[in-house]
Amino acid sequence: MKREDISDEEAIEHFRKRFMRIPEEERKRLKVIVGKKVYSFDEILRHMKERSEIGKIEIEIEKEYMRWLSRRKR
Amino acid sequence: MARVVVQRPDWGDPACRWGSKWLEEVIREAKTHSFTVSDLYGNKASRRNVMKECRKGDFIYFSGVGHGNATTFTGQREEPIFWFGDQETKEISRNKHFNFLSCRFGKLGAKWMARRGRAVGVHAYDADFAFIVDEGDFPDSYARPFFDSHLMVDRELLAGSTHGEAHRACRRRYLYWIMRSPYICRRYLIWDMIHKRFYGRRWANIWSKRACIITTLTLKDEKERLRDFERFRDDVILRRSLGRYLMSIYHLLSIPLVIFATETEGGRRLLKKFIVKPFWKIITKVRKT
Repeated sequence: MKREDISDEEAIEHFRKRFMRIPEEERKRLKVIVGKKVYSFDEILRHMKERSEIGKIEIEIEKEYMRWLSRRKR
Repeated sequence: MARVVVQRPDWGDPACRWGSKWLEEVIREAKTHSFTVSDLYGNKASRRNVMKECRKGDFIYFSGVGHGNATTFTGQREEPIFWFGDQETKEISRNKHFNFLSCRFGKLGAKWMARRGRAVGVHAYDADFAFIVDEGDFPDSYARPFFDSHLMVDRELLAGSTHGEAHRACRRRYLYWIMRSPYICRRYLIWDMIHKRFYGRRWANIWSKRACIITTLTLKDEKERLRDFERFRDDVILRRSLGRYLMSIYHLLSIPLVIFATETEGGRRLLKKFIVKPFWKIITKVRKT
């Protein structure tokens, strides 16, 4: 799968499916630290949809994860 | 014994707080292998202190955490420590080893330190370093896979592995945790693993310096004498700025001379007679005084 092959929407949908499976308590409790930015795991989906600075990074992370999964399947 | 400098800024910033706590392991590891450790924790993680420690004659390895960007690695309260184009950074990099736990410094700064600064090896990340924490459980099990994987570089290098081996071990450790961690951690572990970078000489280890090819070529049967030359270079010449300057010129000149010696008959003998022997006389005279 090439870098351009995954759209932002696909990445968000891929994340959303897995995100819903995580217990709500855990989602609220855990924090993500990316450089100077600190945010709750629960906020990621909202940030992704808003395409904020955090959202853009998270989309990139999800795309990288999807690429890694597809490489592994092959 | 050789010196390891560990930079651990901590002023309440979450990333540095966690990073500093986990870097305690580098100190333990270095002490286990009998290194002298300069622990620059909290307010001590300033440019002045880092430079002071790195200028000491026995300094060989730097491992640090701090915020950063493509060109700058920072310390306590984001004070710039090393940066792209800085003369002092360049001077300190020469023949030394570095491991940076910092966002994006691997994009330009680390590469510059290895290529222009002539550091032997520089490990860094070329994107934001991401990890998960549970704030109620410090330093928690969620952060462990991230820091444990990163610290693999320090463990391997301090144990004597080459930079290539340390880099591979670090990526393998990330893979180990990727297979065993929940989805929450896995996506960030993959991100960090993909963006882990190494610049420098893969086959060199923490004890490696630039070899003198003339003496290695001419004195390959005289191991004791060769060791004396190396000791003289490290303990006398490289300790002075003029000596370091002369050594860089000597390194440049030595390449064509070695080519000449290997391609012509008796070339090796000539090199020994006109370069190695006069130097040997100087060394023995310096020793006597």
